Amino acid sequence: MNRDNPCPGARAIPIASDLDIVEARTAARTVAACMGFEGADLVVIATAVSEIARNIVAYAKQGEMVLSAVQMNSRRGLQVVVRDQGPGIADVSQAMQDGYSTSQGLGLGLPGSRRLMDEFRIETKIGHGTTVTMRKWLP
Amino acid sequence: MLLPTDYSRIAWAAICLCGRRTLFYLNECNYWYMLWIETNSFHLTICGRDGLAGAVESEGPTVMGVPILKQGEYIIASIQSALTDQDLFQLRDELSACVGKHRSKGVIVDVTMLDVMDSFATRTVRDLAQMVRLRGAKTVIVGIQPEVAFAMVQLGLELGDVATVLDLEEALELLRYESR
Repeated sequence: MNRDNPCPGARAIPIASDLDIVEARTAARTVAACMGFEGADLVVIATAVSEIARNIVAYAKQGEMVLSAVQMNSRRGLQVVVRDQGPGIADVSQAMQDGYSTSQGLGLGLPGSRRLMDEFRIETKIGHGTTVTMRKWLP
Repeated sequence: MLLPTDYSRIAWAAICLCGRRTLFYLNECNYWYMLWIETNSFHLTICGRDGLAGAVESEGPTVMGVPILKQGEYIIASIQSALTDQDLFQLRDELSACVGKHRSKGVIVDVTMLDVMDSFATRTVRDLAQMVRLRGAKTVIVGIQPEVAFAMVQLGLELGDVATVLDLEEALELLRYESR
């Protein structure tokens, strides 16, 4: 990490349109690069953010993403929290299966993002919304 | 040699030929120039897009940064920046329309500058190739970066039977070979 120019701290990025999806993945990439992520990891993080952010636009209409640096023992990483107050997911285990989609998508967003990131947690309540928390650790 | 009709087109062509990619694309840039000089059919087509001067000046993500060039019986779309979902849809529809307008036999989509090919982009490119095929032409995707390929595989994405090659030269060769 560059000490003279610290990485942007936790900040919420609103997600409500396809333009915001591009903004969200650009922001994630910028923060990740600043933290020391390189090459494929940057693409992987940006891709996972893109998938999850698109879920918001497709299902919840609006939500937000918060990026932050996390530390656990000696490991440092990037945490991405994407939350919305949308309809929630009725059957999470089904939504986490490859190829399952209720929006004519490819059905790879949630399960694919879980494969891309090191940690993936999803909390959802019908009628209250969904929160996806993902982490990627620095190698 | 066809001369661009107004300044904005010259600027756009200059950006396209030798813009942000100058270093990375040094060879390809020469190649473009070669095409430019050697053929008199190579010119910039806007294919229904207005406000090009604005597109050149602005660098925000609202801009659809995809110049569409015509080279003989092929169309070359070179993606220059991150595209929104709407931009991707627009590109798909415009290329499909361009095939009919120019009686093209092949469409080359250069994605070298794309830093993310997520499930939406992949599906749209697949749809584009299928639409172009139904219009009687073939689509070749150029320049998927290794990191992008890695993320696509992790995500479980595939382009099906859409042809992919590493550079523009190979794409033109493939199209010429297949139309023989």
